[in-house]
Amino acid sequence: MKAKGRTIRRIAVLSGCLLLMAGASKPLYAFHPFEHFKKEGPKKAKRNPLPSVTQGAYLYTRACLSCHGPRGDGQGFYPMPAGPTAPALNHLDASRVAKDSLERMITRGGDGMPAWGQTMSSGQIRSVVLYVRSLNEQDGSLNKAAVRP
Amino acid sequence: MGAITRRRLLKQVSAMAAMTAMGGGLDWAVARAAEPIRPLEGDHSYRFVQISDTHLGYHGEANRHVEQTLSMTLNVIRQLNPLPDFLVVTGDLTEATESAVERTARMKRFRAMIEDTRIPYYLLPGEHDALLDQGQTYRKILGPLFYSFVYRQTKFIALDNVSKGFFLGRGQIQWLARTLADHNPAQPVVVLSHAPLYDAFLPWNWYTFDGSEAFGLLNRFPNVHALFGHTHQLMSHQQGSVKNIGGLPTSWPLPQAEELTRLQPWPQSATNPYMGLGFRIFDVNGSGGFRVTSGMLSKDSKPMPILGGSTP
Repeated sequence: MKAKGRTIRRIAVLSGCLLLMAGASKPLYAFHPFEHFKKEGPKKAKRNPLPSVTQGAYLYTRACLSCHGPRGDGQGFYPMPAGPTAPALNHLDASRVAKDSLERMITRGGDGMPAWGQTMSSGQIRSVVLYVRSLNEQDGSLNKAAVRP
Repeated sequence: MGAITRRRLLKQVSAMAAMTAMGGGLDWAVARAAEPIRPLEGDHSYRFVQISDTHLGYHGEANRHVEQTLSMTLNVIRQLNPLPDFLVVTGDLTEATESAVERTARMKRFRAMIEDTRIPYYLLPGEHDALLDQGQTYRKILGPLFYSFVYRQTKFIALDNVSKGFFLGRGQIQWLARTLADHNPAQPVVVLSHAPLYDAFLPWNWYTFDGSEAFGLLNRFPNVHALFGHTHQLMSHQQGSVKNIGGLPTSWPLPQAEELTRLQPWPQSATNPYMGLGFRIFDVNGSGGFRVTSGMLSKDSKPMPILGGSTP
């Protein structure tokens, strides 16, 4: 009789513990004492389904302005390690301003130009292409193409 | 196992409740137990020296004799007491040139000079060394573009944020994540790179395009120092748990980033030719604390007697 009672008590205590563990997997309080601490991991690239001139302008400021200048005229603030200054982007000839040509150049780099494809997504690169094409003022059709991705 | 008494039950339940309240959940407590912070063991104090931006092969007004100022720096370092356990050189070892032959010669000259100190050394590339040929010559003459090693329980990680452009790139970020995956958080981390990992000044390329991804990986460690060159001046910046520290050049100082002007060095002073030139000494103590001292060149600094070459 005594042994039976002990077993029942054990089962009751174990059930209580299991219930406590199940409940404790969520914070017990409205204010989580460690809420401010979030373990940071590598930031995932934001999805960018639609390239835009606006994003292109932002990326241009971060990635291109130092060498090609704020107006894209090649008057940058950073001297190239060797050789001439970076080319002007606001008066590109028809073959270089073509979407495919620009996209390839930005992605693969070469001749001192970084290979941005190793860090930018294809959507980001397309945004930069749109922005660079919008800098070419001599051809109005390019500007129209730039604002309509 | 003894009988469960009222007292024992209360003790167990209150212990679990305390653990739950402290951690906000058992999941936290379990995670902490699975990932223990192991204390550092034994004496692991040591010293290392950072040299940067030596620009061997440069000819111009900013420094009329870059080889001499590098030689003077190495000579002063060789006379330090205690001697550094090793040297780290944070990029722009050579001045950029479009000639592959000249680039190779400059890198070999640099290697000969630093080997004459007979102090172990670790190098990484700057954009002057690696951008024009995406690091091919550098890899052939001086070694890998990025790597890691452990010295007396400190994890050193040399990053390449210049050879393809001012970024790390997806491949290197993944490598960094793998490298840090099993690192004990109690052990210090030292990250070496040429350009600063944070946005120091975008118009002068004093930044790393995807540096925030590296900080995302590094910020979970409490003791991280990120040493960089490129800016040719004393700088420091705290980003999360990462203390970013700029190295001194042996070539020429650069102005402070304030105005939106084209970056250019001053002509070397005739009266104070060694202004702003030097190196930095890092003394790491037994508990992983860092003390940083600057060693400045002066007129009294003497060039190093070259064992395997000639320095005028």
